Amino acid sequence: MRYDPAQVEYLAAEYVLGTLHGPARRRFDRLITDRADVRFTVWRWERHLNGFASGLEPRKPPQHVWKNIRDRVNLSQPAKTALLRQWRGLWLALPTAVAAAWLAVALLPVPTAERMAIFADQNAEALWVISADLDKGLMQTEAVNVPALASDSSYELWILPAEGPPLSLGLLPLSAGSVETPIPAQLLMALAGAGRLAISLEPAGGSPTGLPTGPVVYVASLVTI
Amino acid sequence: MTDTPDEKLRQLLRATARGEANAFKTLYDATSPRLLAVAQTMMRDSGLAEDVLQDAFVQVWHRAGEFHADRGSVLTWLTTIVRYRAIDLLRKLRRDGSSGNRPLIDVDPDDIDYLQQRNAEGADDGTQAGPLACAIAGEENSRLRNCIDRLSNNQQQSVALAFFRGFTHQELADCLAEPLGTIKSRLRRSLLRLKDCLETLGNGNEIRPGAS
Repeated sequence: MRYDPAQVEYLAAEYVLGTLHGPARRRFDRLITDRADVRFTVWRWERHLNGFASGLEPRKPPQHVWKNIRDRVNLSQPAKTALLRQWRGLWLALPTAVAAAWLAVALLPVPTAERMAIFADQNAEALWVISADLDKGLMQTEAVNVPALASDSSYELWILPAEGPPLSLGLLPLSAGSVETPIPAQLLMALAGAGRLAISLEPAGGSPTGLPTGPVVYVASLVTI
Repeated sequence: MTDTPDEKLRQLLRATARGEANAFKTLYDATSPRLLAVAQTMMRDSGLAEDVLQDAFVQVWHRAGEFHADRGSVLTWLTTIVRYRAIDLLRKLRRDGSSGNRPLIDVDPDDIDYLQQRNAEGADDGTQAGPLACAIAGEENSRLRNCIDRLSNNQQQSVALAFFRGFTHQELADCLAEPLGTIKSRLRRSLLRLKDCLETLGNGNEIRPGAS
């Protein structure tokens, strides 16, 4: 669907206000993902309108709200603990020399590697190419052939760690091209250790829960290069 | 003194993006009371408002690295995350018909009290601002307040109910007992007038050549 600039302006305002809803909101979500000018218009309206909230009387949330957030993002179980648990398991299973070598790698302050995953369709046509420079903490995402997507959905990228729930790497770009994004530090260790990445279908804007809520549509091996 | 409050929040957000749990907690402590106020105003239910706040902060943890200056202040960005989550949840609740104990489409007497109280405070300053203009606080929002004040009370009321309650056009029409077409064109006029006014006065967050 094509929108003229005046329509974009008005729809962006209604999107931010919230009165744009149903299929029209989902179509506009898609437009926000695809078009930088639409994105900027929406952001401008967010800056305009969110000042309305400035006069509301602040309310301190009860303690349990923070506890739930902390549990949901695994702050109470830092990555180091998981690594240590994994290491203890290996210690029993592996010959000492191998375990010692593994330990030496595991104790490096920052994982040193470049890792890559290629998502492809049944005909081995590449869809997205992901490469992660763990030294620089940067992820390059190249959209090659983006499979058709319903307007109310988005593709979300996940690390499938050796242990524990999938970790979000954010939404995948829908238009062809390459984007570089910083890798959050809390994901570096998981990205260094994981063997696979996955893509799930999520509502527009991504999973609201921080875990995959839709079907996993693609899985790719994550290799060190 | 050297850090503006927003610069402080930006530092916390950057540290959160690097996975620093303490920074995330400090960011939460600094902003969650304001954000819970937004969620509570929209959801009208403490449990639902807390759910919205939780979902929003889980997103903040995962997406802290996505913030940049074009999104406005950190608080604007966080407010956006909370409002969109609340709107999604309101639509879902209304679609499922599970509105809880309280009708979702009503004008709460608290709203009117609140707006009248703000109105009275405005009047003390010698201003005759309408309901929504009086609800806007802070020097950084003075342009928004001036521009909102140029809207009629009817226009301010429709914009306020959409913003604070997440009403759709149809819900606004039902709540205000006016035809759907009237509501749509009123909102359209309100928003376009607001845009013209904000751009004429210039917006504090925008860098535009020639804007004074």
